[in-house]
Amino acid sequence: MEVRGVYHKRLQEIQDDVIAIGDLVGDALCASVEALRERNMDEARRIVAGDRVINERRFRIEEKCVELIATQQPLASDLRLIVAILNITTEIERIGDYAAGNGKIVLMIGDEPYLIGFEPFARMGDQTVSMLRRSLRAFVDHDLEAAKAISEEDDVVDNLYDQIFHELLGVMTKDPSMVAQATRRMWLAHNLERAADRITNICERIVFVATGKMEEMG
Amino acid sequence: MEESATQPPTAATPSATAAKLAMRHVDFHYGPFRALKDISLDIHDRAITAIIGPSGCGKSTLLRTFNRMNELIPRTRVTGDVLLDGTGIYGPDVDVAVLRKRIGMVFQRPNPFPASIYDNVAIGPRRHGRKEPDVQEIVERSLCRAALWDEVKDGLKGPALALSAGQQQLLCIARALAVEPEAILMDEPCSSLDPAATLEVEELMLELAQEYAIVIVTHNMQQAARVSSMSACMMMDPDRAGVLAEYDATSLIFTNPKDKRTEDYISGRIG
Repeated sequence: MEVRGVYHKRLQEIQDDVIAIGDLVGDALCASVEALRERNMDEARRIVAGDRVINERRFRIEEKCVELIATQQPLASDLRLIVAILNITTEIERIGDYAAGNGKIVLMIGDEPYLIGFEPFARMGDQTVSMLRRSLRAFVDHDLEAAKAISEEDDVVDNLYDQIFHELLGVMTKDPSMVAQATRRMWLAHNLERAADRITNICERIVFVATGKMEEMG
Repeated sequence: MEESATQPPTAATPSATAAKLAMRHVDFHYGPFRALKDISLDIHDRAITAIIGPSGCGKSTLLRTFNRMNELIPRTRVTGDVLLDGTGIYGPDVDVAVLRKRIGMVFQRPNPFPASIYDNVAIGPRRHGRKEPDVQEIVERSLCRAALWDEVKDGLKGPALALSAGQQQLLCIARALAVEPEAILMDEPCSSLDPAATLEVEELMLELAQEYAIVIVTHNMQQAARVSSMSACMMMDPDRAGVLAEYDATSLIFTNPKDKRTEDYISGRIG
């Protein structure tokens, strides 16, 4: 007889929900950078509207966690997992906010010309989305080493952000009439940089699940 | 209270919608003492309903009212309606033996008869007129359903009292299943078992809830939370009569109870 089969099924369902919301947010983040490249206003509006779905899913996951704590008394690694899921889901939802924020910025930028090359934005987007997807994999696998390695990649995103920041600063210094436009692009890059920071937080929680230790990473 | 009592449970409950058992404005008296006061609730079929509450609030009395076990105590009296599939069970034409066959019971302490494992399970079907080899088939099926068959199949003629406490309780469940009941009442079925045996019985209850209405009285709130899909929280009135403080889906009772008395009880502020 399987012991506590119903409980383990519910715990697995919550983990599946985390992966599902993580995939949604990864797609939204990826699409927000593509929308900037293609000046795709319809896509930008879709990303902004999609944030509501992500927020709703986050609340459902939290409700399920609270119910599981109240009714099934998870302990030891299961308790750490539930606590981690509550944190990870918050981080994922905030990354979803950044994707929606990027969608709004794309709408604000509209047809304005590129002030600097698109390539560092693309690299930032690719790197951040890749980190998110791999962190979700590490969460599923409880892969401590992968989580540590992913968190170290935050530097790549930080360096790209510095590059974009300084290039845009140069544009603004050279032509103060470009300040508003440049600032919008800076916000977008900053959103990607913050998203990567939150992925580092997710990695910290994966380590917590595996070891029970809370450690600062990145 | 009436409204929430008729809502289908939201927790992991397969097709639990019909009321198998019900009470409508039930009062129960032991002599002059009113032990239950104006109890109304629906017990859903194919689901586990937990009855929780402090000691002395009438949980076991309520449970035993569902199969007229309280009648074994002199000078008791029931008013209001107790229904099985919508039909009153306290009518003059109700055959109590048949009623108790339809609504089985498992008690706090495992109480196998001082007989063989086989005879413990066979006694009910025999009494209801079943003959070998039918009985043999029923014994095997019931022990399988109670997750005990593999452990005892080679020693069916051995004494039931030689089994461990956990096995004895599973045997008592098998004995209840052998007469093919429609509902099972359990009065603190795990209170004398160790944690491993408790989990085994809980797992079995969840299995059985696919087919039966199960009502469990428990002091162990964690157990109620783990296994049930509906929970009834009972309290004692100022006149010491048991009342139903709240009845709702277990997930709601344990995360967001509406009645302050329930909140105080499950959070340990009142015992």
